[in-house]
Amino acid sequence: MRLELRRNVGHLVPGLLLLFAVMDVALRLTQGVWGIFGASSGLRRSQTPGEAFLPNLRLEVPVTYGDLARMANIRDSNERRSLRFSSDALGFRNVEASRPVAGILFGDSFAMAGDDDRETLSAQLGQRIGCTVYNAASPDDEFRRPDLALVRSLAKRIGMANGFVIVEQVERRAVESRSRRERPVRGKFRQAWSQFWQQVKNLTRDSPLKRSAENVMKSIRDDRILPNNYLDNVVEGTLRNGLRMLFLPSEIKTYEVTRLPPLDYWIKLNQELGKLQFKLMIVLVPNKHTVYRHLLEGEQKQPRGGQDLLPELASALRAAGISAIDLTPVLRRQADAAFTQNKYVYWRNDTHWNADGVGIAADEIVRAFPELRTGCR
Amino acid sequence: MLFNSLPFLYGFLPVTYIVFWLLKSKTQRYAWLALTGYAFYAGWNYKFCALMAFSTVVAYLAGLGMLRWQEPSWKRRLCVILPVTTDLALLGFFKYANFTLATAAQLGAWLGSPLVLPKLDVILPVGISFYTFHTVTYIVDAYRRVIVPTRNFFEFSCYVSLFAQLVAGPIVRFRQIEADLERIGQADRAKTLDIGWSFFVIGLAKKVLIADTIAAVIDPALSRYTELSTLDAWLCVLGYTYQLYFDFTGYSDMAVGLGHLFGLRLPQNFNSPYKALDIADFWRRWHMSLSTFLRDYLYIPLGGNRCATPMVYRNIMITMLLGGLWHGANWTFIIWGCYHGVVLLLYRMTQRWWDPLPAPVRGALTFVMVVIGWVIFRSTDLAMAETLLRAMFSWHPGGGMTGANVLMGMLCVAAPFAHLGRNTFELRHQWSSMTAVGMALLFGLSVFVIYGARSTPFLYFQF
Repeated sequence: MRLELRRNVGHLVPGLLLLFAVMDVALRLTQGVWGIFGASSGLRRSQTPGEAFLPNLRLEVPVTYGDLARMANIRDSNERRSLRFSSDALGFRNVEASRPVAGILFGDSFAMAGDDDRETLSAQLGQRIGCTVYNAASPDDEFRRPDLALVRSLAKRIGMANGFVIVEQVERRAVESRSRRERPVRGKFRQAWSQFWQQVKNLTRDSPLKRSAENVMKSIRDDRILPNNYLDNVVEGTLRNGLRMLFLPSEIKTYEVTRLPPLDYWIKLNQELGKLQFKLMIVLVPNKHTVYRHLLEGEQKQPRGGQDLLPELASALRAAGISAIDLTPVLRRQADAAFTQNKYVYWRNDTHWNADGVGIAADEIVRAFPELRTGCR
Repeated sequence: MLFNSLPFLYGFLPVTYIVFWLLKSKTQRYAWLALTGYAFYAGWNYKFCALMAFSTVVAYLAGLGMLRWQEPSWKRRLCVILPVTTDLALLGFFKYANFTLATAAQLGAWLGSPLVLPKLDVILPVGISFYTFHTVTYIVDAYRRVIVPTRNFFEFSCYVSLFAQLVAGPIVRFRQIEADLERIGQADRAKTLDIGWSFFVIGLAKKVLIADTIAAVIDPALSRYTELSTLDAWLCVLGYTYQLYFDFTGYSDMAVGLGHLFGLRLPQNFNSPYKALDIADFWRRWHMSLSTFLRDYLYIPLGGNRCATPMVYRNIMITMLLGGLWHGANWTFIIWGCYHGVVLLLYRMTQRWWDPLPAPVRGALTFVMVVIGWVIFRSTDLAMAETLLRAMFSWHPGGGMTGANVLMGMLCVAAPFAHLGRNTFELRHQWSSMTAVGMALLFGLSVFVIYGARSTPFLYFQF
């Protein structure tokens, strides 16, 4: 059969569109293998349910910026840093260790954050208690609010018969209403559909082609060639020492919430884990704006009800028989102390806490939950 | 959903296209296009689909009524008065309720007797101005016996909710598309493929590569309009002049191209308006589907030119004022409409001196008048318009806004196309192989930009 190339607009343009589509899908599927698109691609999440990242990943990025700096297209040379990221055989950010496992830490990017694998919350908790706290955190919802099946399967794979299940929750997500995805999925077909849908979502979430195009556009819209319209993606604040601090817009939106979300998910998880001899501990991490708003110039938005909801949430959880700690007071206190020396507990150009902030959190968690040490023995 | 977005290009368009050509009968194709129109609209806000459906049913029933009562009678008149009143009342409520209440409150406060009025916060449904005008033209044309109303509900629904022209026009009259709708079952896919994509690619490039690049520079600058120097103010206003043109003609070209892909020929909406030699000529070339609507359904019924001179002037002013108000519930649009009304009157008064002037002089003067109008049109309030005009016409030193070089480059590209080039309807759309490859590359570049930048809505979506 002879293939004829039709060089008219009606064939070339749809053909090119198809080519773009095929290229996009192919790059989405293979980006973890290729690893050519920089740090964020290296941190590619796994498509396999129960895995956070591609297993046995080793990634070193000499120069990187905070997530907010990236969102706002600000490349401040004073704020750059390097990143070392490794995943273990199960696809989680852990440094291999032979120490016994005292607990598993679930959570989002706060639990996962750290410029080095040894700076993460789980690593610092492990250093303080002398045991391994297995890091099972990931930005995926699956690991942010785990279900019993995930805890059981992971505990089995790492050989933890009983112990602590620590779940880190950042304020902006902790106080939001319960979403539909937390409803238990029943039935084999529905479970299979749910898994398939999760994989589709993972696939559609991250496009290397889109990222490359965005990088090109960002290099043009740099406030020199074209105005930087990415600044709208973040909220800028000026600290009392005159330095700029960036915030996620959703942090400010958190102040609109006036009622606590229902606790039934936590109560149920606590009961289910209790039956399996696991102990649930919830760590509530304040938003950066909550920690720093009193150190910012100008009038700052305050919670609508006048009070932050995190202390109330911690009290409600404790009243329901769940161990919970709110890190707001200690982080605010330490942020004040550090600020006098021009130091910070959160990155100025990133949503997350820095190694100092993580250290403060680890100290406070160990102080609040002394059984973590005893459990290790 | 936007034409310049990946969900549209990768999802909506291919699915709509493939299914459409798999269907064989015209009723199936009507139904499919109507359904996809609603899906397209639901991408913005599904709740307002019911409003469009209601408008469609009302106009369709009015058409049936006029088929039933052929002879002049009060029933026939009712078939035009009731649905047109309903349509215009809905348009008036959704588009002007907030503005009317706010204006009444301001007026009350100004007169020293503050009014306590409810705050409605009515959301303006996208495209309501366009599909309402579709149904109004259908009903009025049926009443005037310009068209024979259709008995096929799917055909009528397809006409109202055709996604290509649903949210920003062109305002298509039933008689302009009736023949193509009738032949939709025998439409030839291969015949319109090239011209359809050709229109679409040109429109996409106009929007994504020219209009959006200009917007990237002028939008941040105009958000700080009080700080603009004279040079920057002129650059911004000229930038907006071409942005609006390339944005709206880009959309219209894409709409026409999409129409062709489904065997429907939509009317021309722009005929190189910046080549106009006088302001009346400009209005014959700019947003032609709106200006002809205003002419045929407002100006002529008011008496048009066939009355005493003062009445002609009155008719022009009413038409232009309502034309301005159609664009939005804001004093700037009313003033803009009045401005064009006054300029049209001045032209009529001075026509005998104007017309003998050399064409380049008339063209340049017309363009300047249009540009001044765009200052009012672009301004969010009258204070902004005043500040911008002051910055343009009195010396404010300074300059060097971010992106000024890029903007000047874009103006150098845009101006020759707008003032000297042929418009998309004047092209034959029969390209050589090399040009076709060039157009495909232009399309590829546009798609790459769509990947990298946030999709920006078309300026006329807000109207």
